[in-house]
Formats: sequence, C-alpha cells, structure tokens
Amino acid sequence: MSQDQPVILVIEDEPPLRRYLRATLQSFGYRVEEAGTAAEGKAQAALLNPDVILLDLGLPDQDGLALAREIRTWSRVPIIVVSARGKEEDKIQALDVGADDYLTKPFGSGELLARIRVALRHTAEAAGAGVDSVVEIGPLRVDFASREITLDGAEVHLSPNEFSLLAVLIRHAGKVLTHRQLLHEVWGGVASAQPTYLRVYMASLRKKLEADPARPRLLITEPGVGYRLKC
Amino acid sequence: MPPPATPRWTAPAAVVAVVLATLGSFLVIRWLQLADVVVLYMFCITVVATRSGRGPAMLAAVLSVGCLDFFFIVPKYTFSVEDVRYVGTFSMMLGLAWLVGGMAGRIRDQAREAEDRERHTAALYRLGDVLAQGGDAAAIQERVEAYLRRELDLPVLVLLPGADGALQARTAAGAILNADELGVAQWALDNRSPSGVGTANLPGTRGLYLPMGNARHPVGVLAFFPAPGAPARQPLLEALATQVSLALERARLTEERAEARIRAEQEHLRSTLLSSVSHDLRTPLGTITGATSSLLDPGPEATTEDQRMLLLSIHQESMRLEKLVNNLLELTRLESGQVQVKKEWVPMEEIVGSALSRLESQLEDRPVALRLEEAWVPLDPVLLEQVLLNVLDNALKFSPPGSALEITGRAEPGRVVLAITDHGPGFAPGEEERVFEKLYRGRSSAQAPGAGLGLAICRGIVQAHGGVIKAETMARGGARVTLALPVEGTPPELSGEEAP
Repeated sequence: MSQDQPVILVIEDEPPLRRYLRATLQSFGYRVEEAGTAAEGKAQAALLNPDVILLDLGLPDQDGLALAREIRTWSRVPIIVVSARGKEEDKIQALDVGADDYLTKPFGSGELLARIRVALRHTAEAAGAGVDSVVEIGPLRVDFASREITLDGAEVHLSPNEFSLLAVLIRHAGKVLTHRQLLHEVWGGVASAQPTYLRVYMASLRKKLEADPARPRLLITEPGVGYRLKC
Repeated sequence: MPPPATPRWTAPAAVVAVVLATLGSFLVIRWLQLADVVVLYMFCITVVATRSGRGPAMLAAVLSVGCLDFFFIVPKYTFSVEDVRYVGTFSMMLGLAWLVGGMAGRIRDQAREAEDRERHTAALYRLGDVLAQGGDAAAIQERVEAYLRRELDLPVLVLLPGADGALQARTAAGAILNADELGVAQWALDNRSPSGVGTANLPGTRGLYLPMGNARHPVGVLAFFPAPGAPARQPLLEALATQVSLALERARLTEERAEARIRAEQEHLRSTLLSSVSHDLRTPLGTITGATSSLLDPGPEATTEDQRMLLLSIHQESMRLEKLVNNLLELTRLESGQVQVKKEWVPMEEIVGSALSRLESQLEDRPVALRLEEAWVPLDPVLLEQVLLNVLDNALKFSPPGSALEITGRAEPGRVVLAITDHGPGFAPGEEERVFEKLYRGRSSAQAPGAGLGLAICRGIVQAHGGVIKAETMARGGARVTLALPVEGTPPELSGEEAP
C-alpha cells in the first residue's frame, strides 16, 4: 500500500454499507479506514489525518451533524455527509455546519467517486498557490486578473454582482453551495438578501452563459438547497 | 339594539312649553276668558307630563302657576293673589302634573318592558339563525359571542372545557375572567347550576355563569358580565344558554360522526395500500434475492454476460424500490399534513431545468422539445420538482423508447400553465380523472411497474399550491398532463444597479 494513496475515513454504523464503500473505493485506488461510532470516528480523524471523511448522520452515539461541527473546529478536511435523511433542511444544515458535500442514500458509485474527486481537488487547490488566475470549465474561460470571461471564445459581459456570484461558484466548483452561503459570500450578509434575489442573478447569469437556460450544463439547481457549478 | 335611554330631566323642554303657552295666552286673551288660559296651561302641563314624566311635569306646573299669576291674574305683574279661588286652581294644576306625570311614567315603563320582551324574543329567534349556520365548536363559540355582545350590549363569553374537563380561559373586552371568576364558572359547570352575580350561588362575582349541557355531556358555560346594578334578565339568558348548548351538542355529534367516517376510510385505504405495497415491495426484492444468490453461487455454465445481466436487473429493481419508498414517504407526509408549501418566486426555466437535469441519464436518448415563456412563479421548488419528476417519469414509462417529449410553459393572466406531452398511447377513455386517485393504475399500465402513487402525489402538491392538474389524450395520440399554477403578486426584478 503506497503512502500517496488518498486516505478516506468512513464513519458509518451499518456494516453492509461500510463493506460496499470499502470495496468500491479500494478498487478505485483509495485507502479506506472505517469507524462504526462517532467516538471512534473522532479518534481516527485526529490520528490518521484523512484526505476525505465520509460521514453518516445517523450514528448510534452522537448526531453526525454535531460531529461534523466538532471536526470543523480543528480540521479543514473535506467532509462528505452520507445520509438517509433526504429532507432539504437536513442537507442545508449539514452544509451550513461546514460539511463540504451531501449524498442521500441510496446513491451510485459514480456519484460518490465524483464528489470525492471534487473534494480532493479543493484540498489540492487550497494547499497550492491558490486558485489560478485563469480557470477553464468546459466552454467557459474566466480570467480573474483581467475579469475577462469568454464562452466558446466569445466575450461575455457580466455585471459586478453576476461576476462575484460566478467567482464564488468557481471557487467551490462541483460543490453544492446553500442559498445562505452564496448570499453571504456575494452580498456579505445584507439583511435584505433573499433566495429570490439570488434567483434573479442566477437567471440572468444562465441567460448569458447557458445555451438553453432550461437545460443548464454549468449552473445546476439543487432544489430547496442551493446551486452547484458542474465541472 | 341598545334599549332606549331612560327619560332624563328634560327641564329645557318644560320651560319652552310654558313659554309657548304664555305667548299663546297673550295672543288669545283678547277674545277669550281667563278660564281658557288656565286650560291652555293645563294642556301644556299634560303634554310635558306624558312626554317627559313626573319631574318635568312638576316643573312645568310650577312655572305655569307663576306665569299665570304674574301675567294674567289681577293684580297683574305681581305675584300676589287677590282672589282666593285661584289658590285652588294652582293646587289643581300641581296635582294634575303629579298624577299625569306618574301615570305616563308607568305606561312608558310598561311599554319599555313589552318592547324589551319583544326584543328578547327576537334575539332568541335570531340566535337560532346564527346557530343554524353550523360549523365546529370554535366557530359557534365565536359567532355566539359576537352576536350576543352586540344584541345584549354586554360582554359575553362562551367557555368550553378542554380535554381534562377544565374550562379554558378566554378574554374579551370588558370581561374580567381571573382565576376566581373562572373558578365560579367551573362550579356552575360541575354542579349544573347557575352561579355568580344575581344567583344564590357564589354571587360575589362580576360575571353570571350559566351551565350548558347535561350530566353526561357537560358542554360548557355561558358567561355574561352585566354592568353593576343592571336589571337581572336571567330567564332570557337561560333560554339563550339552552339554545347555544343544543347547537354545541349538535356540533360535537357531527364532529364525532365525521371522525368515525374518516377513520373507516383510512382503515380501508390502509388495507388497500398495504396489499398493493406488499406486492410492489416483494417483486423487486424477489428479483434481487434471486439474482444475488445465483451470483454468489453461480452455475458451472455461467458466463460473464449472464452475470452482467443479473447485476443489471438487481440495479434496476433497486431503483424501482427506491422510487416506491420515496413515493410512499412523500404521500404519507402529504396526507398527514406535515408538508408545508413554502412558496418562493422561481423562474419557470429553473424548476423545469432542475427536474430535467435530475433525469439526465433517462433522457439521454429522448429528444425534448422545450418551449418555455419567461415567467416567475410563486411555488415550493422542492415539491414542484417532485411533481415534474413524477409526470416526466410516467411519460418516459408509457411512451416508446426514443420517442420525443414536449414541454411547454405559457404565462397567462394570473397563472402559468405547464404541459408535458409524450408520444405514447395516451390514457384510456374515461380514466383521465381517475389516474390522479391513489392506488389507481391505468388499464394500459398493467405491464409497467408502479403502485399508482405518482400522480396522486402530483395532485396533492398542485392542489396545495392552489393549482389544478389534469390529464388528457391528444387527438393524434399521446398523453398530456397539464398543470396550472396561480400567480399572485409581482415577481422580483433586478435592482437598478444591475440593469445591463
């Protein structure tokens, strides 16, 4: 087992699901560590310094949300919440306490692996010299230094707020951002800022960046939760 | 209607009447005798007496005597009287005022009493109308309180016992219902006997409490808060209490009957649901169990292709199970009233777009013709996405692989209309309404998996939005499901700073 394999800590109390996660993740070249309780998970997280944590919310000894909040106080490790609670409020809560992503059970391996790749890339970017000044996602190219945006080579003009909204989404590309997180990052917690406000800018951003705004390729809606930039 | 004001000391009227009589006398004295003038004054006193009662009549009499003596009796313009017989006239005028005034007062009192009685009868009668409107106990409570407060012009409360039999406190303008008062009211209910002010039981209160109902079914207490010293009208109030009590009793029985009916319906649905769901759960589970056991213990001739087929059917059946469980949970939440519609302004393209991207893999080989007008709709994005997912899922299930889907969205005055059309066989004639019923499965869907929950959920959600959903078969074939959602208020706009 080589040392540069990314380590994934699975905190999950159901053995069958743990078995499935281990088999899948190992076959894609990850090192998997397991914990069946929150206490065990906490200890493992501190000891192993994993690259990604997969966290179940329904743990026997402690609520997963509380554990996520606790880990967040001393570690920036990406936490992907894995839960059978499919309600939007639960997702929002998990993301707002500092989880990086959310998967509702049941989920396919493809989806799981994609989320893990996004999480690892964000870690790498954070460790590196920060975000490149030029970012390319599909047909979209954004030059942060000159604030130039092109779509399939054609220049696109964005208003200041549209630009900052797009910048936040790019900074967290692939991750779900809740309405609250987006409003906070773009408008800095202005009291009047409402999800509706966000939708207005998202609609005009889509009009400028998507070939068909009703079948978006980049700016994906997570109903009731927020938005995600697909990459 | 408030009772007419009690006749007040209408002194000005008496003075005016005497002044008029004096002026009249000056006009006619030339042609008439002094006796006629006396009669004129007497007439004036009688008028004042019948109109205004004894007090003003006495005032008018004294003034009349004064004027008569001063202006008309010799020696004129003094108050001295030469002729002793005029002293008799004066006494008779005062006596007349006393008698007529008293009599008129009594007649007026009697008339008022009769009027009161009539009003009370009318009040009782109209209370019947108020109660005939039906409704539950709370509705009756409010209507009766409002009506009686207006009708009797005093604070009235209908006190109902809670589940533990203790009366629940209420408030109203002018009604003081502190712990003591409430205790006395409770006493009335427990002992089935009037209590409070004006009764023999615990009379030291502000309120009068009349119990309603009988020993087996105490209904509540009707509480009145008469002004201190106001006349007791207990017989009327008791008649009112009886009527209210009957209405409340009726409401309770109706409620119990409705509950029993709902329970029976729920029981029936539960058993239907159970048999349907257990079938729909067992079938995929059977496939999964069978397929996995043959994968774990493969026959000697098993090929990789066989194994792939088994895995594929496990995957498909698992997804079917997931869909069923989700639908069941959604329906349970909808029916138990746990679902609250949280409306937000959402662009139509965003809600359609999120449903389409959720179904991306299933739509890969399907051309989708999208024609959406630009419109903002107040809706719950999570619930509405569920509706679109279910409708699209049906369209995919019941139309040939690779056939096209059409989605159109129109903005009409006051609403938006979304239509999803497929190129399948459409609905069987006559089942366009029934497909929205729970557990109803279309005749054409005998082959396709499903429990008949999807469209029932759609209807529940759309109706919770105040909208309408309907199904139809197109003339050229193909099913169309149309949802119309109301649009009220003004959609948001870009602030000036951002306008391009």
